[in-house]
Amino acid sequence: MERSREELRKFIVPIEPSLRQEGIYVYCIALSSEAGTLEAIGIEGREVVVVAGKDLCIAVHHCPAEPYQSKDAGVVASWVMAHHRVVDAAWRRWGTVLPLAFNTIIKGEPERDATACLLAWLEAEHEVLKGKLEALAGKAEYGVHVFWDPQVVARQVAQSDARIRALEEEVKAKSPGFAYMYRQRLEALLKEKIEAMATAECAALYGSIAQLVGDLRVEKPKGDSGQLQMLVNISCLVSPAQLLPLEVELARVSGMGGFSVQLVGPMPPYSFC
Amino acid sequence: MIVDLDEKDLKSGILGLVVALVEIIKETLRRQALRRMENGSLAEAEVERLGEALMELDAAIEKIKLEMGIAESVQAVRDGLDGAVQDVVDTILNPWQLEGRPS
Repeated sequence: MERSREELRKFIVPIEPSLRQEGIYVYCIALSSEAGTLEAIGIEGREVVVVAGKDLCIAVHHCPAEPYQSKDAGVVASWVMAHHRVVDAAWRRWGTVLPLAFNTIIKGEPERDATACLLAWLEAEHEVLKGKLEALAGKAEYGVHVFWDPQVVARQVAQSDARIRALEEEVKAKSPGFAYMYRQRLEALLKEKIEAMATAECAALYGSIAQLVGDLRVEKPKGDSGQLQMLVNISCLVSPAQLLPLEVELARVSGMGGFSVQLVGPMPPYSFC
Repeated sequence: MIVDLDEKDLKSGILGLVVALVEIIKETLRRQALRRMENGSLAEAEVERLGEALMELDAAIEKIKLEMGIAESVQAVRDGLDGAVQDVVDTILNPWQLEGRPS
């Protein structure tokens, strides 16, 4: 530990006692004892320094000990993008990283500066952090987004369901008021069938993907695309050997009438830290 | 505090809210009518009259939305209400997420 502190002196700006309220912005942790720099790719062009402990290293930059805040959404977006850029660079350099959330800042204490606090935390949590990194080694996160076109699916269901076809025939022969009420019944029945189909498909897809990947997280479906509705949004932790079987299964789903699939990745394992 | 209101936007917003509420009430009435039709508690003539009345109400609401240019305003109110209900349902179904623990 003493030796690594000496090595750190080369990379850490000495902090004067009057600057004890300086902090350290933390991007991510990696399984490496390599100290150094990732160059000036940090938030607001800050130099990203790599602080190394026993066999873990952390990508950081020096900053005031207060969170980054702005009412300008564009500014906040640029900070978040810079955070991801650093995590991505670290991931490409060391293969496995534990990303920290945007705005994770360690501040100094009266008796020790932010760097000392960071190193103390790294030492205290060493086994836990190393265990998490070893569990993630070689794996990447992929987002699986399954969309369907409700109109296409509704047509397929209407054509294949005998009760719905019978109701459609009945409606044609009814007077206007009766036909209106029958159409409501038809729509309610169709909606019920489609919802049952969506539930069954989601459960089947979840089951098949769960068998193919290391770990997964079910996210809220969002971001409908035109008339396509997002049915399934799953974050998956995938090893290189698991990728092809996953792609084959998603290709099968994509071939089902009215369905389409988006596979987003690879990216650092944000959802699995 | 000075509140800067555009009179046209205000009228559009209030009318949108009123029409959105009318639509929700109409849908409730329609579901109730459908239930009664399916359980056989309505005579054929009653079903016919109810169907015609609801059809005319549909047409009247669409006409108002078109003439007053409030279709988007009405949809925004409906989407807002749907979102609020969804948030409540999500909170009930996933209380652990509220506390920041994995569900």
